[in-house]
Amino acid sequence: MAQDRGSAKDAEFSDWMAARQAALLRTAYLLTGDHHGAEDLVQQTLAKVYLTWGKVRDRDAIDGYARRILVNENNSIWRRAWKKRETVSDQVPDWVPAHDAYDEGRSSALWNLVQTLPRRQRAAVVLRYYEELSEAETADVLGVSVGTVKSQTSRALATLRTNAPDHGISRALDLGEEER
Amino acid sequence: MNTEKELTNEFHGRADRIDGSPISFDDVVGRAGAIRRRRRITTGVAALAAAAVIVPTAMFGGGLFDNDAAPDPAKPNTQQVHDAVLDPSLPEGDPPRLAYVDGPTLVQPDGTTVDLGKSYGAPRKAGDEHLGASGFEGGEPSIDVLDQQWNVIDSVPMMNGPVSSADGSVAAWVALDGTVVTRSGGRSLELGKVDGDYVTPVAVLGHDSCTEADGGCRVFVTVQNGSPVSVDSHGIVDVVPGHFTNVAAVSADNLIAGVVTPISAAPTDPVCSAVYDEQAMRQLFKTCDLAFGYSAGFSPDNSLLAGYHSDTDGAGPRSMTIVDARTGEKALGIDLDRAIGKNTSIVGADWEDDDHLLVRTMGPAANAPGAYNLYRVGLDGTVERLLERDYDNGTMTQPWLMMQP
Repeated sequence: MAQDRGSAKDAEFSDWMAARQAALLRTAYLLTGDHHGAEDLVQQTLAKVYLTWGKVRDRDAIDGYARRILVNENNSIWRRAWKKRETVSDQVPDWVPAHDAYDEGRSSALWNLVQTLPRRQRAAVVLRYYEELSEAETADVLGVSVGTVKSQTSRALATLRTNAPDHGISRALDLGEEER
Repeated sequence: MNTEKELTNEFHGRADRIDGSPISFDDVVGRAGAIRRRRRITTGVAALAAAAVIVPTAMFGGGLFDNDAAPDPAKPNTQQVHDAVLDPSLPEGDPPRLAYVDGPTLVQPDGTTVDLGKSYGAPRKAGDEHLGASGFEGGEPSIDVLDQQWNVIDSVPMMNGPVSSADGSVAAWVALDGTVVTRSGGRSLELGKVDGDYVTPVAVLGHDSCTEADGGCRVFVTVQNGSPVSVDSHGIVDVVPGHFTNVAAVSADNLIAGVVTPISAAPTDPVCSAVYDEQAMRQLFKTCDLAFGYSAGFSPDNSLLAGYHSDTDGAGPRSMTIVDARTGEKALGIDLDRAIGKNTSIVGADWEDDDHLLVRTMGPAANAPGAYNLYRVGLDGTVERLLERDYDNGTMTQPWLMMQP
């Protein structure tokens, strides 16, 4: 009977994982900036969700829970050291887009600039402007106050605007300086 | 288009075409098992998010430990057991008696400071020199060799490290290719190469020199997905005895603490740790309630061992237990005050001396990534709060990283 329960749990988790893996990978890629790192981060996140699967009563909250793990795993000091080692590889994952038009031109420069942000600031802008979470939802994911989300986001945007010229981006033209 | 919309477009353009499911269910279950075995105590905000995983079955009546070997009758435990409570409302006490690093600043016990120029974590002593690790915030991880005036005199790429011997005369790190390198007396010496992924030095046994002629030294390392090994001055790489899957700490008198649950164990099996006496060639005790990794390790006199409760993976521990290193019997309990919010946890601990621990806690802050407190906890149960701050230096480096030894 215990085995049946375990099988049912595994099947349920497996279904959830199949449905959510791609979305987690997308966010993880924006957080880490590289595909191997994203895959490793998602695997770690899924493993932690798996370990707690039987304890989570509110299945509707799983997605948010997984997002919190994903972001905070990426922010942890220890993990960054480990990830650095694990991402060294010559092999390109087969799920990487075959052709990424964003590798050229202004968007590439902006992408490079985003990757210079401290991890917490980067997490804040990814959650706010990709996941399109509210400040309160972002604060919940990051485990900080709404005020901290505001300050981290504000600093990130200020850094992007300030450093844009150094990365080949026309500050006023490309980052909407005139519209602020 | 404003900056926010530009970012949204960039992010969607980058990420939305990523599709597929490259990670299999088996991959996840395998990683889950590794997490359970390692019982990593994560730092920083990671501690705020993930929940405790599996609550081990409490062992009533028989104490915490499953003694596979009888306690040493020659050293009965006569120490009175105390429980200390970390309370942020306590008045501020004397500063730490150890030098510590706060971002790029070294703070000496007399209060004088040295600007190290960069954030090294906690540099380790290597005789008259120190070794500092950097590069985890960006760039390649490297070891900087610092002279007595804290000037960088050498810098070499590394995989992991550094660690120091108990007397601070010898330090070691692992080079990018897995070679274990030691530093003592102003010179570096390669001991041998360890095969495997993510080779991490845990401890160094030795004094003053690692050359064979001077008696040599020995470095214990863990290997991801492999057995821990030791490398000595003869170049011999040998599996650490005691059936460990990873080693958390090694005392100067050859007690080894670490995880003994096999790698092949099911993810839902309890993760158990043990202490093995290498000289006596026997396991002293085993526990499935405590994990000794990422803790303060053995006390300077090797009599005690600090552990976190093993059900704290991810969420961050709110308590610690100090045990007799040879019997596993509890000597001191340390708990966060119940009034402290659930998102606060213990993020680090160091032995200040034989009778005191320095314990760092971190919780949410109103206007900073974290609010930290540093406590001094005595074996007699006394608690002093030493330092407190909302911390945000942008480096992701925790404050008050103690210089050990």
